[in-house]
Amino acid sequence: MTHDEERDIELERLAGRLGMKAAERLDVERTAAAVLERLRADRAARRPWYIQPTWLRAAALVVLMVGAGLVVRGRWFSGPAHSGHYVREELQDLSADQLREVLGSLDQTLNDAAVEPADDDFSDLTTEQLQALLQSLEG
Amino acid sequence: MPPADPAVRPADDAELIAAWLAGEERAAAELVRRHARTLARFLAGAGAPEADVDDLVQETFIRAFRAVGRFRNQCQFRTWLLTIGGNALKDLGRRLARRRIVPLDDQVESKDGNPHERAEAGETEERLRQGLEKLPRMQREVFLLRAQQGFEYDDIAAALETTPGAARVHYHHAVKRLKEWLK
Repeated sequence: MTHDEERDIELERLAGRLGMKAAERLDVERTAAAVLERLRADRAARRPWYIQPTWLRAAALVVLMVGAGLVVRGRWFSGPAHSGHYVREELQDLSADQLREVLGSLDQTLNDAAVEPADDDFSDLTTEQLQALLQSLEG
Repeated sequence: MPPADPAVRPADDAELIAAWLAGEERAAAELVRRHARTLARFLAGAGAPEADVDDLVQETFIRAFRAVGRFRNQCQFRTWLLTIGGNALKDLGRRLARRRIVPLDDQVESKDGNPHERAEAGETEERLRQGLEKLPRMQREVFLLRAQQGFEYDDIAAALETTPGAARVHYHHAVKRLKEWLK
C-alpha cells in the first residue's frame, strides 16, 4: 500500500468520526416529538377555514337549529292554509248541481284509483252540506 | 434457517413514507428515529454550529415531510434527507451572515460548544472540519456523503441532481484538497 493510499484511508476514517458527538448528544425522542408537533400545527394551518374544527362545530349547530325550527313549524302549521282559503271561495259560487257534479267526479277518481267506493249518495245533501263535505275533502 | 416472518419485518422507508402520506403520525416519528442521528452527524460534519444541530435536524425533517410527496425513490430516502439538511444549513448560514457581518466560512464554523469536548474531538479531526468548510459546497457534500456516510456515487448523484461521473470528480477534488490541508 502506497503512502498516498494510506492517507486516503486515514482521511476516510477521520471523516467517519466527524459529527459523532453531535449525534450522541441528540435526544432522538424529543426531536421526534417536536417534529410531530410542528407537523400537526402545519397541517392545521393548511386546512381551509371551512373545515377548521371551530367552523365545523358552528356549521353543525346552525344545521341543527334550522332542522329543529322546520320540525316545530311543520307541527304548528300542518296544512296549506292558503289553498283551503281559496278552495272555500271557489265553492261559494257553485250551485248544488255543480257541487254534486264535482263530488261525482271526485268519487269516480277515487274508484279509478282502486280506493273503496263511497257508499254515500250525495243527492240528499243540501248545498251547505255539500260545500262542507268538499271543504273537508280538501283538508 | 426458516425465512423471517414478514409480519414482524420492520417497515422500510418507502412503506413508512406511504403510511405518513396516508395520515399515520407514527410513521413520521419512526422515520425521525431512524435517521435523526445520521442527519446530526452529517450536519455537524458539514460545519453546523453545535448549538444549532438540534434545530437544524428538526427543520430538515419538517422540510422533508412537506416535500415527501415529490420524493420518487430516485435515491435512498436518507441520501435525499441529507441533501435537504445541506440546504437547511446553507439557509442558516445566510441568516447568520445577515445578523453578524462575518465571512460565511467563519460563521458556519462551530464556535459554540464545550471547549473540553472540542479538545477531545482531536486536533486532526478539527483540522479536517476546518478543511471541509473551505471546500465548495458540492465537494463538501459529496465527500461527506461518500466518506462519512458510505453512499454509492449513483445514489449521491441522484440526490444532488448530478451524474455519477461528476460526483466522482467532486469527491477526488475534495480528497486532494483535504490531504493538502492536513499536511
